[in-house]
Amino acid sequence: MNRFSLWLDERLHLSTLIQFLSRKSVPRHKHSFWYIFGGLALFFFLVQLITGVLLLLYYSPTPETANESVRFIESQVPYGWFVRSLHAWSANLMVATVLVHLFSTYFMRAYRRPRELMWVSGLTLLLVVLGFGFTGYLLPWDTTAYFATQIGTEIPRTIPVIGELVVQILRGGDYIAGESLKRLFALHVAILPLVSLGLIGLHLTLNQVHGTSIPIGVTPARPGIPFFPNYVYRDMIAWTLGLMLLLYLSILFPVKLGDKVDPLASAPLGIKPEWYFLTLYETLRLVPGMILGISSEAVVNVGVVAVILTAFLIPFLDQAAGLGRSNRLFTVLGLIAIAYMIVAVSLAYLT
Amino acid sequence: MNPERHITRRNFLSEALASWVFITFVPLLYALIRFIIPPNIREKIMEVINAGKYTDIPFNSAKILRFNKKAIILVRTEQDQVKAYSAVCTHLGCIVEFKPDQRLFKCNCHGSEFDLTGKNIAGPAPSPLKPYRVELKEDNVLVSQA
Repeated sequence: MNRFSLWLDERLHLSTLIQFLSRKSVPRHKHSFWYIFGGLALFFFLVQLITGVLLLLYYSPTPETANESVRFIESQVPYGWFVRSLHAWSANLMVATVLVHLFSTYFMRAYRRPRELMWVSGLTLLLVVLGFGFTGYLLPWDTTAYFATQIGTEIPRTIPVIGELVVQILRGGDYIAGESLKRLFALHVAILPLVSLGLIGLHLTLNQVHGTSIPIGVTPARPGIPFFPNYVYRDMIAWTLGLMLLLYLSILFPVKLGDKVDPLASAPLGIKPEWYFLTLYETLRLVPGMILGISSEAVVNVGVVAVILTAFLIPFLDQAAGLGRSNRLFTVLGLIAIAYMIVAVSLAYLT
Repeated sequence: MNPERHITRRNFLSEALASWVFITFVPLLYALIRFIIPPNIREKIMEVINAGKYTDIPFNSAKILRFNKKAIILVRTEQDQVKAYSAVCTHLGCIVEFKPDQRLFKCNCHGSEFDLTGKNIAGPAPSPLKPYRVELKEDNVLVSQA
């Protein structure tokens, strides 16, 4: 160690941390590849934080100025279009990597005892990430965003007892207007980031406490991969590839700003939400207006809440996994969920 | 109350602290919830609006305007009738569009369709468009609640 490193170590005890991390190891087996997606999701989250803070330097959250400020970022601010594209594309990649991470942990039964709370915190993080997507979508204040938010905030209306109140709270009033923009902005830049930082902290701490899960029936090779520096290098390779993909998408397919909101204009033809909401969109489109005398949104709402609650309860429902046995029913349920998502998204794009 | 219950100084302080936390935070939580719910501000309600000159709307066309913050669609049919409906799709609240070639209102969000009487005829919309009353007064179109 040189003198500066010694000086730093005396104050920060970094050598203790490095020793701890080199003793920590990651299981080495045929499914180890799937472990990288958690780290990759964290990487895209960090990109979101950095680019989000940069966009805040110019963005103005009022109906009169929001669209213009984003147009200003795109057309006048040096590399503004690039920063905005990085923000939008990393949001998409973050959702994608969180989904892959979630499904890989699901199929590897990483949620089983004693990691139930890791699953719960991870699933909550997925909902928060979707919340980021939803709240950020309105901020450019363009026509597509306006109607997407109109639909998204209308859906909870059919929830019994509290539906109207939920709509009011989300919109800040009866209609999508300036109050809605302010609320979704506050959620997007302050409330959700604080919540997600807390959840990520909890998720990583639990990972530290329990270590990385090994799939049922898999015998890992000995020794495992030392976390530092070996696994960190692997993660860095994944992060570099993720960054390359992000740069490629941002440069070749920069996001476009739509026309400013006109509340008296009809919804434009072919309006669709982001791909990660297309499953819900297509379900709402396919179901008839009324099902057995009940409005379809109410039925879909109940269905969505039931699916989310069931997903949260999976570690407690899959008792066999806790005993080290793989229940085929849960594998089939996971495959059905993926198949339904693929079919719904394809239908939404093709029809 | 159990007369033999022994209250230590520590127990007393713990329970006093728990009570203090409860008494302090419940009202704060109530205030927080009330703060999040937007206030119900009463605004001036218009009984009737002047939607402009009758002759300004071409045959088989429509225009969208605001009536007490709600979007309504005013259509002049080929039979020279003027009708007004809520422009808000009854499915999930998008603004509908008048399709002159099909002579119907269509919501582009999820594909619901309504005929010229406002009736839902296709797509997921569960109910008809709400009608408004239309009166003609010296070439002016007056719209009011039906």
